[in-house]
Amino acid sequence: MAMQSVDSSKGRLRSTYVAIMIPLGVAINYVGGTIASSLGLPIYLDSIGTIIVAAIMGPWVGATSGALYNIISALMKGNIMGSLFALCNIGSGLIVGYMARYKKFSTIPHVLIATVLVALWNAIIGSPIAMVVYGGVDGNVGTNLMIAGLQALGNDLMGAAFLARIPVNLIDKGIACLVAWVVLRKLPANLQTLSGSAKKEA
Amino acid sequence: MLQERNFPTFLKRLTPAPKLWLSLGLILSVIFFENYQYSIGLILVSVVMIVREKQTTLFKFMLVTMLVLFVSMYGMYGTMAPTIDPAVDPVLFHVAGIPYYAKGFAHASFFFLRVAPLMCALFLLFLTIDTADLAATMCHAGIPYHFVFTFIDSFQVITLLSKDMEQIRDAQCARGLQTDGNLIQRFKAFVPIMVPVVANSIIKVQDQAIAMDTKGFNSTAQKTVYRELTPSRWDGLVKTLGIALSAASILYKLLAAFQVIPPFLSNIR
Repeated sequence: MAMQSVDSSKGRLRSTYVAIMIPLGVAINYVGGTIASSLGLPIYLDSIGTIIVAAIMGPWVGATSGALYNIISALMKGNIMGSLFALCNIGSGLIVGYMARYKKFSTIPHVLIATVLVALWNAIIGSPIAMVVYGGVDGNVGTNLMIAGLQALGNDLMGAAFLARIPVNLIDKGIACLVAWVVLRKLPANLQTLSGSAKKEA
Repeated sequence: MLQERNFPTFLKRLTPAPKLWLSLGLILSVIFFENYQYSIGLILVSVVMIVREKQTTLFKFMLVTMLVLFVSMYGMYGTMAPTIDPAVDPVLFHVAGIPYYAKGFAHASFFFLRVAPLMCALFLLFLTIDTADLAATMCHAGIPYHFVFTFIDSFQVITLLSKDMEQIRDAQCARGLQTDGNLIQRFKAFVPIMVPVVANSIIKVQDQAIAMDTKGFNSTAQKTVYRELTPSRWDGLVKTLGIALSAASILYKLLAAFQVIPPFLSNIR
């Protein structure tokens, strides 16, 4: 008799996977940020978990993981106002999640498109949040130096805060998307289809 | 959130609910009062409590973050704040030919004195909450079990993955990975550390899902909580203080916004 595999993309087992993957996404984001900080990199790298979870489990689980990361990170660092940046991570999760669901996160060009979309979303949403929470600058040295440079060139603070976040986010989300794509390619087939996307033919 | 020491201190004796109420009160009061004496006072009280609660080791990391924020805000807003009018506002001093204005520092203070006091106070309050106690409190409050599990599990996975990351970083360094040097070298070091950390953690997911399912994670039976919270005698007072502070902050903000009272507390800007 042929052995039947368990379909973990729906039913009760999916909710177990959701309960495991959301905290895992949170932890990967946290560790990514910690490594970037310990290496002294002038970018955040705290959305790799969101992107991986979104690509594996679907857009809304990825978005939840991203939002929860910002809330937990804000609690652990005491910076409760920073939890507003959850909107950035929710958008990242939704963009990559829907791209993965429709098989648009499987090649390098797809990764590049995802990077541009996610970076633009984060710059558009992140700069007004940074204006509200910190007045425009934040604790990231790379972004702050660019904001200072752009202001010296005659831009106003809001414009500088937005423009400075585009290159920073392109590098930041580019690395995040690339790491997520590399990891996804190495996953077993049953883990790649948890988002409910069409399964590969055996 | 992750209690490092087990000896009982004043804050560790408190159950999570009063600390959460106090946190809400502090958040609302700092944001709505906009009073620099209150904000600086809160920073000082928090630092004293951090020393008393022996949390200085972790606070050093927080201090570095706050210092970066302080330098960024005062350094940049002091000379480039949108409120500055260079034609009218007097220059306080020059640093390397760059003029610094009092209005710029006031702008920086408005944001810094909103973020820094909360960083000190909430860091201490959340650090002294035991995650198991928090889970029991959330369950008692009627929050669904799956949500509580996901929330609390996040703290535990962060600890485990951080340990994995340190091991992998040490192993990669032993193999010759350069984690210092110029920016390009440090960027190159990121992927050989991050990819194994992530790949390892995801490979374990299947085993964890099966283990959880066999232990009845998806059971529809009523879940029980194997944790009894022992209330401290200060719980009531701290909870009342938190609720009173929250109510006073909201009331002050509403009355000031509708011009029923002058914003007599707000003096940061």
